Amino acid sequence: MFKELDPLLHSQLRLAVVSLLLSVEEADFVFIREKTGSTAGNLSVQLDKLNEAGYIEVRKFIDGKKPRTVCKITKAGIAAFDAYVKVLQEYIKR
Amino acid sequence: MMETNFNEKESLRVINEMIAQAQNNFQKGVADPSIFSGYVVAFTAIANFLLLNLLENPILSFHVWWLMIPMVFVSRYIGRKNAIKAQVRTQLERLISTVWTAHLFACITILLVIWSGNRIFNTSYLSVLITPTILIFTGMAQFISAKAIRFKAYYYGSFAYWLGALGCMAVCSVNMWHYQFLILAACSILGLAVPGHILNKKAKEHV
Repeated sequence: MFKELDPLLHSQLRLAVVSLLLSVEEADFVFIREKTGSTAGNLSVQLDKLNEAGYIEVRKFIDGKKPRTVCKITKAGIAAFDAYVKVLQEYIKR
Repeated sequence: MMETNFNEKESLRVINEMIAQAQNNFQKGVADPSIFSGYVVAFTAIANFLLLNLLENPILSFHVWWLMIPMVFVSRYIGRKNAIKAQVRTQLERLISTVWTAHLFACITILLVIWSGNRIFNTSYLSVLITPTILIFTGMAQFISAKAIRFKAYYYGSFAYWLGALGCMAVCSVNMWHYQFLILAACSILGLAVPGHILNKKAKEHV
């Protein structure tokens, strides 16, 4: 079941992150954590996986004295999400 | 949110939920540039109106409008500072920012067109069109912003601007053209500053 679905996106938190980033231009780590209701540790691991796959861009910088992490979806991420939704639609039609 | 195996219906639920979460995220202080610009324009318009009546050479009163140049820079600086601090930046915010940039260029262009017209036809009458035209442009930019963020107060603001534009011509018809500046001041407060305060309040409640 769900063999054709992108395994990287077929995870509740990673799919939530990509869906969220798809609707905004870029979002802060804190915003993503609050909206997905995940823990910082888990989110950090999943963001790394998405970043390694080239689905998102992660930018880390210092804002005043606070370190910040800002994420943005990439073209590859949008294409992967698009493909994921298409496969998902096929499953639903069955 | 836990990492669990989930089915296609749950996948759809997650996607819908996250897209809904991303909508209507007003950042704290999102309307600060509007509020600042609204008050500065109102102050400048009132100053122009007073100086027109006080100065021996009333033409000099129009120099108060040079204040608009630093106002644009300060307003942009406030917007940029808030954007850096913001937890999220949306495509809508970029669209709205582009609309207001277009508004700025449209205002500069209309000033050049009217000044050129005055010189070409050797008149100063065309100048009475400056304020109503700028009010119409501002109302349009505000209306697009209202539509983009689905914010009613901005809709009302845009209508305040358009009514103000008609009011400007009404005062001209009774030879009281200088009252245009008071109309401009009222529109800037009612159409820009007040809706800005309401939006900031809404953003504060949201955060």
